[in-house]
Amino acid sequence: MKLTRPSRRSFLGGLLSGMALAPGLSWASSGDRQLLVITAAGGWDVTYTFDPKVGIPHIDGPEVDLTHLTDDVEAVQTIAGMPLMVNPRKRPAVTAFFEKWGHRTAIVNGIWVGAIGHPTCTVRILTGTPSDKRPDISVIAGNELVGDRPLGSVDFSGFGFSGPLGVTHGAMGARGQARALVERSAALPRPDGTTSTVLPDAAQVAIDEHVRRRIAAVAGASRHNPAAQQQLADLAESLDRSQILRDQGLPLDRLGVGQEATPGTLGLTLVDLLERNVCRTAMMDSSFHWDTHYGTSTQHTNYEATFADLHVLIDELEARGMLDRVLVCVISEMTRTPLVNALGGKDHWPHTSALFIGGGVVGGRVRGATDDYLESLPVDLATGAVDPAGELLRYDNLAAGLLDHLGVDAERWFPGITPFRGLAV
Amino acid sequence: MTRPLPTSSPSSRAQLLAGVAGWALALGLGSGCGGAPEPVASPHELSAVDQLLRGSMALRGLRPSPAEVERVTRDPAAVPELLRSYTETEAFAEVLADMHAQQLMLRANGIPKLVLPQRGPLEGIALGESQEAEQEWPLQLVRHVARNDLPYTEVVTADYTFSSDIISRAYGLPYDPTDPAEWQQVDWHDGRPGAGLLSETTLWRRHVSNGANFNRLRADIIADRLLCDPIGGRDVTIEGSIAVSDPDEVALAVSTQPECIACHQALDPLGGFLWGFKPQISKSAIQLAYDHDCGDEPIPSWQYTGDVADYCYPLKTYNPEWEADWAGWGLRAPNYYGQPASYLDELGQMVADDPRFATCTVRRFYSWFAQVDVDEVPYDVVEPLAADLVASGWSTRELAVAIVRRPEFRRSDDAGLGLLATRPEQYARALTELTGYRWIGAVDAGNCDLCWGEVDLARSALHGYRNVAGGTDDDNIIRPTHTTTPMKWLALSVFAQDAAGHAVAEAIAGRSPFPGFDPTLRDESATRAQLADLHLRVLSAPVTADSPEVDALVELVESSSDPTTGWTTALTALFLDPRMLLH
Repeated sequence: MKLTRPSRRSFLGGLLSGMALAPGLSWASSGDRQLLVITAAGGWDVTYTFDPKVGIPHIDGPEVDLTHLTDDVEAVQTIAGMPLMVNPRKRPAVTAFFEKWGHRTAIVNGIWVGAIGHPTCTVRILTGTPSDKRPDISVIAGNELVGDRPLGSVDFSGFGFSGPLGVTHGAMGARGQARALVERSAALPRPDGTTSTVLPDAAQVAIDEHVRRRIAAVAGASRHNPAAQQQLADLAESLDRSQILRDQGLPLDRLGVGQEATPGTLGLTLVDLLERNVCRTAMMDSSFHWDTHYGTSTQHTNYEATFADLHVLIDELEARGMLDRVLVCVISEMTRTPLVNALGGKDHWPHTSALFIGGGVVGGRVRGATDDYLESLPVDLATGAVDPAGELLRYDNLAAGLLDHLGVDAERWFPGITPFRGLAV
Repeated sequence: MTRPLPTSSPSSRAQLLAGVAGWALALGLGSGCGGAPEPVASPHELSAVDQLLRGSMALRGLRPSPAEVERVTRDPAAVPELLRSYTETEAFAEVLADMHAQQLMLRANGIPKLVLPQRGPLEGIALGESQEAEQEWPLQLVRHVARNDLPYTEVVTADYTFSSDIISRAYGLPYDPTDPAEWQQVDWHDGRPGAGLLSETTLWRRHVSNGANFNRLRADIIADRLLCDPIGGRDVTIEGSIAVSDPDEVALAVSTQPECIACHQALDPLGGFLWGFKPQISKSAIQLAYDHDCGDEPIPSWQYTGDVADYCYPLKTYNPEWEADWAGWGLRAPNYYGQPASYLDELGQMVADDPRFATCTVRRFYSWFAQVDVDEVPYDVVEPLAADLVASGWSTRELAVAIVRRPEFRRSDDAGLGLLATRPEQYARALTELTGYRWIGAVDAGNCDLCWGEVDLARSALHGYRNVAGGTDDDNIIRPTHTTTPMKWLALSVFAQDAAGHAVAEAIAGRSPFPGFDPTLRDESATRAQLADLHLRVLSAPVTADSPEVDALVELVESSSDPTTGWTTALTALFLDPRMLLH
């Protein structure tokens, strides 16, 4: 399918009248939900928490070390109505999280990804398609629901796929780059000790106005080429949006320029951005190395640290009164093989699980499942209940379902794909 | 590349300005709005100047010179010759290096494990410096092919590599410190067969073989990036009863299970050629080795193979004795889509001889220049270009010019490509060539344990704005964004202001990057003449001193009572013009 950007009314008012911007769709959103995506890049082992597998010969569960730690015990515990694999010694934060927020949390197991390479799986799970030409779900929802915000989506994970929707998307950089663009005094110093040129606001406004007139002039000369018209429209819209960003500032003061932010800091930054209506959706990475081919012990520490951060994040969303509208999605592009390999680690497995919190989710319930080979089972896509007569919960069903849950017309982006509607039932 | 700064003198300035104004007037320019009305060949063909501009940006990432603009204005037939001359420049070699870096995902400076720790002979060398050396190492071959117009097959058959001071320290390749050349052509020193890029350590440090992957990911890089046969992108259906963590069971399955054979019958034997390389050498392995005093005992980690000493500088990345280790795992012997062979150099030759290498080369070049996806390049474009490529002796120069001379590059209507986005690398090259300014930041000014050093902010995805401004990071983002985004605009606005400020300051100090540019002149006619000249230099569009374009720029110069601010404002506006951001 050739992908074209859905048209909507120009951000530019009358400036580019006559250019190829179709009028039409309203910017008004159908709800006020926002989305915060956290990727666990590398492939988490779902048997460590979401998808307990005990006493199954084909599946090696979480690694335990009873030689050195007598209390290193894995057990299945039902918390908030959901059976979870817990280990109070190594993953107490997981237990603590579900004890407090399990009732607002939905687990979706048995998501079929259908590939075993990191890039391929990442594209599939984030875009809901096999193609990195397509925008990811965060970008689509951000674009569709942008309203009068300067940006639809922001990405700090580095995994964002903007497709043709870049004009409402903000790739923010991993080292505080975005902050330095709107707060020039925070920029990296020059090696020669000279200072950056910072023009007065009036000069910047004059430049913007000049460039707008130039865009209109060039557009007039390119009137026979719709692709050129679109490029110019995107440029003009980007200019307008960036002007708002510059005028309003960005709440990025938690981030150090040139420094890697901790996931906790990044999470709070995303909350700031969503609260201040800089964007409708946001994405970040857990920042932990989940790709455990050599030994599996870091799965313990990754889960522990991720859930500790997640706990703080959800507490903060609740404290700010945002949890009802912000849907937090924590997702990994794949899980690990059922059995430990010869090097003590686990390799890639083309299925995964995801976690959804707040934002209209009916919590305390597990949707989907895997069998004794850790393979996805068919489900009723309307509810997420396991159903032998149902369908495989594929990455595209999940993506369409997420859009649907956020109030975006999923059929427009995923024609013919049944949305997974298990989150709200 | 930095253009030598010309010396400015009143006579040369007056001469130049008079000259520009003169021929612009002679052509009847300077009236009306919407740009200069260069003669056009047909209502739907770009003007000769715009064809030159697009070709120059594509092939060099640089703006055409005023003289070149003047020449094609007078003689549109000169465009092809000028484009060919562009491919003989160093800038063309840099563009091809950029293209290969992106397509092979080499400039991935956000992957921590690729850092070369500052231990032993690399002590005191900034991380950014050593990483850049390693990333640019294989690209020297690409530059070498472009500079010398060697057959492009050289990139998979060359039996040599290049070495620098840092590469020599880190990998043990010979390097002559008395030779002024930063990069020196040398032979491989460790017995590895020469197969151009396929022999390059950087490529296989970047694309590792994890655990029981057995070089399959690396094989997919060869298939995908050199043959446009992306095996790894296919759906994977694994029968649940196969224990994929057990190498023996996997070895059996990939030979017997139909759903596995479909991919693995090509992938595994292709990976079989790469067993001479270490599966991976990461930062932590090097640190571990130094922590164990670089001894001869086996490295104490499941993740790495060989001895501790292998991971101390110079790193031992290849050993001919490992080439047949695939046999010990019960895997297929090396072969190339069914053709048996054993060694890397044979693989390189078979790639070069494969008709798909020619068509894929065309796809990759066209994809880069036309800013479309590799798999979207039309077959009727690929076939003739591939035939011409082979007939030309695999000349990258011929191929590049043929692409940018295609009708869709020259059309202004809907049969054309539309406007092409200026990539961050192109923008940086153009701005540096125009002003002499490089956008550099010091990441870790002050004390640090692992100093990164200076960062080229336009080109670095980790600390700079390559990714923010639409480029790739060669790790997670491997597809550039050709849409202008708010963040790209912000980033380029900052870069443009800095470059403009630098140019004005240099001019005031008597070191103007533009011939004849003197922002201290206050009379209106001088201001107008200078702005017309800058308009030509920056936008490749000749205008007269009394044109509306110059009127608008005069307004910006006069918007501030401070001439430095006024000129910086006008220059910034020129650097942010749609003709700079799109071409």
